[in-house]
Amino acid sequence: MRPDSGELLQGTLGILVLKALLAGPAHGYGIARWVEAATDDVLRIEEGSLYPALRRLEDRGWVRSEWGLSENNRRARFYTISATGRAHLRSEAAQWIRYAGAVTRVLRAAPALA
Amino acid sequence: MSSMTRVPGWRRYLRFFGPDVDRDVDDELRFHLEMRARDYAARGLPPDAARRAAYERFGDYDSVQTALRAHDQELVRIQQRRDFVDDLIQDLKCALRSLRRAPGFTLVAVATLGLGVGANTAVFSIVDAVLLRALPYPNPEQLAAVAGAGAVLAEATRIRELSRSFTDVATYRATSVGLSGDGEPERLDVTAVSANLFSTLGVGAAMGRTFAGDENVAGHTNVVVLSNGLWIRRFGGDRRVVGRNILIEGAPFTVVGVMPADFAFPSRDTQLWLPYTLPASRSGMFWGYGGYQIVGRLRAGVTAAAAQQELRVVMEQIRHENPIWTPGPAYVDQQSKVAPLQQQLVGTAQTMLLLLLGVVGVVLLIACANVANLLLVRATARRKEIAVRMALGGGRGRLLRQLMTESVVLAALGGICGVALAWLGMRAVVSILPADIPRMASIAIDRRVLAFTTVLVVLTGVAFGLLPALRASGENVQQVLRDGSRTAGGSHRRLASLLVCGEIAAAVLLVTAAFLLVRSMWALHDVDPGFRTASIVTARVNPPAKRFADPATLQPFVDGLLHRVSALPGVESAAAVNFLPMTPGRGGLAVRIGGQFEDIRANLPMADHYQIATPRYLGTMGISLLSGRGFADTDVPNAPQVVVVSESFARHFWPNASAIGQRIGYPWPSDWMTIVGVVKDAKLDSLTGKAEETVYRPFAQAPTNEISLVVRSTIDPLALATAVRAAVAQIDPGTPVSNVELMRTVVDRSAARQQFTMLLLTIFAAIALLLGVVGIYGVMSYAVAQRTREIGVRMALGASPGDALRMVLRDGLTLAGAGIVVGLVAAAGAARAMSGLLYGVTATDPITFVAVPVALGLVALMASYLPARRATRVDPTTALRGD
Repeated sequence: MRPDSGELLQGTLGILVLKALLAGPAHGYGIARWVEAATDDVLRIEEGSLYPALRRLEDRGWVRSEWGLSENNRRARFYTISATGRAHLRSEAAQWIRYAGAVTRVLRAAPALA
Repeated sequence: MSSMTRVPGWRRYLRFFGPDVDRDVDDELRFHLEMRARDYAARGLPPDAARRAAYERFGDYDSVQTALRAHDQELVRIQQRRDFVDDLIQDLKCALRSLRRAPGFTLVAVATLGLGVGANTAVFSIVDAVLLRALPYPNPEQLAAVAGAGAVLAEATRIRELSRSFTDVATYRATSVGLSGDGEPERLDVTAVSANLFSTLGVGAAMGRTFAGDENVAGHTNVVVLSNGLWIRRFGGDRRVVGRNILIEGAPFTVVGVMPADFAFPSRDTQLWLPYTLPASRSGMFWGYGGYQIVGRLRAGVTAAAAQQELRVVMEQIRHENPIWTPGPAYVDQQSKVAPLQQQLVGTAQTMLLLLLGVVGVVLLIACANVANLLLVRATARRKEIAVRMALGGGRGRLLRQLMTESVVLAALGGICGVALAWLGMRAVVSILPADIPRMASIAIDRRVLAFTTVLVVLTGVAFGLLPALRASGENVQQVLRDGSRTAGGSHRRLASLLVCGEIAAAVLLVTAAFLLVRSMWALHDVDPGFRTASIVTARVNPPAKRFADPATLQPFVDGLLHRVSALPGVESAAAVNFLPMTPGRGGLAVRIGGQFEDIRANLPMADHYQIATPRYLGTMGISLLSGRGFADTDVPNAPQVVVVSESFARHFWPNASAIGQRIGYPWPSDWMTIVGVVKDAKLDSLTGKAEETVYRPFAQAPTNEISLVVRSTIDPLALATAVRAAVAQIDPGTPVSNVELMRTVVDRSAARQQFTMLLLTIFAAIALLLGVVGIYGVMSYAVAQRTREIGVRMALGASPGDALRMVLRDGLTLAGAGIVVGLVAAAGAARAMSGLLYGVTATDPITFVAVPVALGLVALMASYLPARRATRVDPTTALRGD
């Protein structure tokens, strides 16, 4: 992992994946690309860890998967977010935003950083 | 699938990627890498570098691959398990539903199986406790019984000294003693043992200690170890009993220990153990102390056969040491027998139990055949349902599984019923179990028995369900649906007929066996034992040996007792004898015969019984005098020594002359005794035994404290018992009175085993017969129902109702006849195998072998008659229009 890559907090990857799937069903690579684009490659994920994360989400019933054909007619596994997945994403996201907002406020408070 | 909503979404595709989890994982990951590499290539990287960069970006490919494979395989496994359970639950629900829809069928099938399984559970619980369960001692397989028929003490001692096959050899001998002090004096069955018995068995005391090495030697303090039962019953479970003194045969003995509750050696009868005492001066020289049992613990790795080989050599040496007589090779053979201890303890009960086990096995087979028949009939009625199911795509395997589930559910219901029946019946069975069956106390329906029953139930379910299920699922679907008729092919009927044939054969087998036993019991009832059993009350009276060692005290005791008892109102006569007929404890006696066998060191002949009796004994017992005289009051110690012998004894030694005036003697140096009378033979061992050669001695000349009273009276035995106890207590309060019972009871007990076997066998045979009848009735009803159309056609063509009746009856009897013939052949074999249990009838008893088939034929006729009557009422027009 490169030193400047954003360290992903535990569980954060799951939220990113769920968020990625909100737009519609996607295969693993599609999810990786979406995260890359959405974060301007700041939160650079180690792509291998994406798949175990997907399995975990699937085990919890937050995503479903299905084999289908990719845009270039290859066999690929497509993931879809489930209703419970959406609900989970909503509550997690709300928590994240609250948390991030709090941290941001702290960091902006006086005395200002150098 | 009906339960779509319950099923998580991923299950839908699991089925098709399921079998190739690894490939799917590879496909998914490789797709990712290739897509990434293509993107890099599009940005201008050369293909190789693009692939490398894609890998680098991915991270640890191998570990991700491994983790995903493991994860997905686990998912598949969980799914398979869930599917299996789901299917099972579905099948079970389906089975229960379908059984509920046919309550009549279910009831008959469950009751039938319940009887079969119940009988097996009950008998197995006995067989398990008595025969199968290992003895409750450490390494029980090392324990061996030596010289099963018993040995003299000197032999036991020498075997212990000389044999290298055993780590230890112990000796014991069942006897009985009087216990007095603290409460009512009583007679106890006890075991006199060598001090090392407990260590040889490997069992310690629950409280206190067992015996120490030197406690067999006289002069040591007298010690006893109590059984748990006696400790609770007589001493109220008081822990302070250890160290206390109790009075045995009037002498003080110190209680040194109490055994655990489950220790019962050699049997439950034993109330306490005490070391037999040997005079210190003569130890090693006990060639006259007979009747000892030997138990040895085999050295690790030594088999019973090897030990026997070695013992033969040892016995060859020992036989020359015998100062009394020189035993022959037959004796050496007999004394070097080494058998597993378990076998020795179980003894002859094995034959009876295995017979019963075989019998209940046959009952279960009959029950299975019956239920299989019911299922066949049912399968015919369900042909449409089954065909529809298969047409809708239920595979044959799935259907088979469903039908088998139904059978096993049926069997399980029957099993539950059976265990309940067995549980209810066990108390009754155990209460009539002959008292000489060993290890009875451990008989229970426990986990082992339930495990056996469970296996039995599953096997039963498969046994009766498989054939009908295979048939039902194997039919041509289209034909059944098109044909629409409910008549099954003749093959169903052929199979059903075969099953009924088998059932009848089995019923014939059991009824024959039961009948033979019943005839044996009748024959036993008619046997004249050679002595009177009616209106004789008996009681054991044992004056303690310590205080009555001297004949000078014993004789007045007996005289006084007989005097008092004779004076009781209603008593006609009273006498005393050392051992009652048909009770344990009696023994034979080697005798010298004047003019024929006079040398003590020679191999002396044996008299089967040695009876010591007071003058009025022979008269009271109705043992009639053939010649000479009985005992008189003048046969006192200082008068000439006299004996009375039985007819067969006299004939044996003096076939051509009168025995009166001849002389016989004890097998030790002593005065000759003159035969003064010859009496009729009496059966002293058992009703089935031969006439025994018996020697009677007058009590006054051979006093003993082993005394049994025989009282002939017209009064109520209970009142008499009270009066006898009172009389004894007046003379000597420390003398126990026990076993007050009718002579008839004593004699009946000797035939208890045959009686028990007969009773159970008769019950099982009755069940078999009942099931057989139900079977014939069922098959004939079914056949008539199926042939309604055929019969209708025949009648339309002019056949009379009588013709129809005859046709059906003929079929029924043909079926029964075939079964009876097969059954008789099997019964002939079985009768030979059980000839040891028969008495007064031969294994080929013509009455039995005629009466049983005729009776069964009649029963079969009746069972066919009802369905046949139905055939005569067939109305041709309805029958032809049918369906």
